[in-house]
Parts: sequence; C-alpha cells; structure tokens
Amino acid sequence: MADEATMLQLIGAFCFGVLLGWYLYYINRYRKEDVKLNDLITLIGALGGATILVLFPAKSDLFGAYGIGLAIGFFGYFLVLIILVNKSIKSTKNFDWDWFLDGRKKVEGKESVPTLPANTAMIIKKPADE
Amino acid sequence: MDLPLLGTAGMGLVLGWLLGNLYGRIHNPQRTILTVAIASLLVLADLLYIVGPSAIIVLIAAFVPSLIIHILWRRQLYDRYGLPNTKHSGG
Repeated sequence: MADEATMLQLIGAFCFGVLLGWYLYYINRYRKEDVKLNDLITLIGALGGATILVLFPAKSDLFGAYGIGLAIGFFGYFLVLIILVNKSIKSTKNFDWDWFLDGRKKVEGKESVPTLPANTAMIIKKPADE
Repeated sequence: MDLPLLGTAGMGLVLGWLLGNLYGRIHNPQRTILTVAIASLLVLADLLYIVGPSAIIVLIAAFVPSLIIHILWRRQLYDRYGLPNTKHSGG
C-alpha cells in the first residue's frame, strides 16, 4: 500500500473485524446441520473475500488490523458465553458447561436436556404453544 | 511482528476453532470432510494471495493449536457429560 494508514483507518478496520468475527461465531453457533456451501461462503468472505480486499488491500496494515479484530470479535463472543454459563453455574444452575455441546439446560436442577429440538437453530414458539 | 502477519495469526485462530467445532458433530462424514477440505484449501490459497508465503507458516502456527485445544476441550466435555443429542452446536 502506497499510503500509510491513519490511526482512524486502523481503528475502523479493527472494529469492522470485531463485528464480523462476532457475527461469524453467531452464525456458526446457530448452524442447523453439517457444514454447507453457505457456511463456506461466509467463512471465505469473512477471511478474505473480494469485499474485504477492496476495503483492506493485501499486505496492508489495514488488513492486519481487520484480522486481529476478527479474532477478538470471534473469541470475544465465546468469552461472553463462558462468563454467562459460569454465572449460571454459580447462581441459578440452569446451565452447565455441557451447554456448549448441544445447548443442554437443567430442568429443576436435575435433568440435563437439550434446550433445542433436533435440526432447529433457535427456539421458535408458535402462539398456540404459549 | 508486523500487523498483516498478526492479522493472519488471528484468522488462523478463528479457522482452527471453527473446524474444531466439528468434532463429534459430523453426521455425513464424506460430504462434510470434502466440504471442509475444499474450504481449508480455498482459505489457504486466499491468504497465500493476500499476505504471501510467509503468512502460511504463521497461519498454520495459529491454526493447529487452536484446532487441537478446541478438540481436546470438546472431547473433555463429551467424556464428562456424554454425547450430544441434537445437531445444535451449542456454544
């Protein structure tokens, strides 16, 4: 890159990476089934797709700031999950570390069951169920 | 270490963790392994183009520990709590 990136540009690239890293973890967490083409497109796009290269030229500091932000956003999401589960273990005990396997939740502090039905990404309640 | 290489290390960590998440959750091994292999090659080629050959070493140095740590962690959870009942990835 011919021009040096300014601090503001670096911060912007970093924050953009944080945002995409956070979203990447979110998408992966709510993935319904095995790895699909859509997941690949998201992954390749986030790591170095055409849009990223247009915004942050190859071998530039901007690209580096973006990559660091991506990792911080991604693992930041994970860290927040760890904190929340840890908080639950210490207080309500509804969730334990096994939640990280398949979203299990303790019912009345005894059984550990998946909180989500098979092939379902998020709990979606029909009005009739409530 | 310069910024682009640090960024590549970050991407390696993310990629390793993402692939480690597949441990114990592969329901269609042939298709999944093929898809993951293609994805890994594409990511490698992509980063090779973006940051050059030196970055591949950094990428692998970040990717492998991240993958191993995640797999070990999931294995420990499986041993402690049993196999998952759904295809949901949890965390």
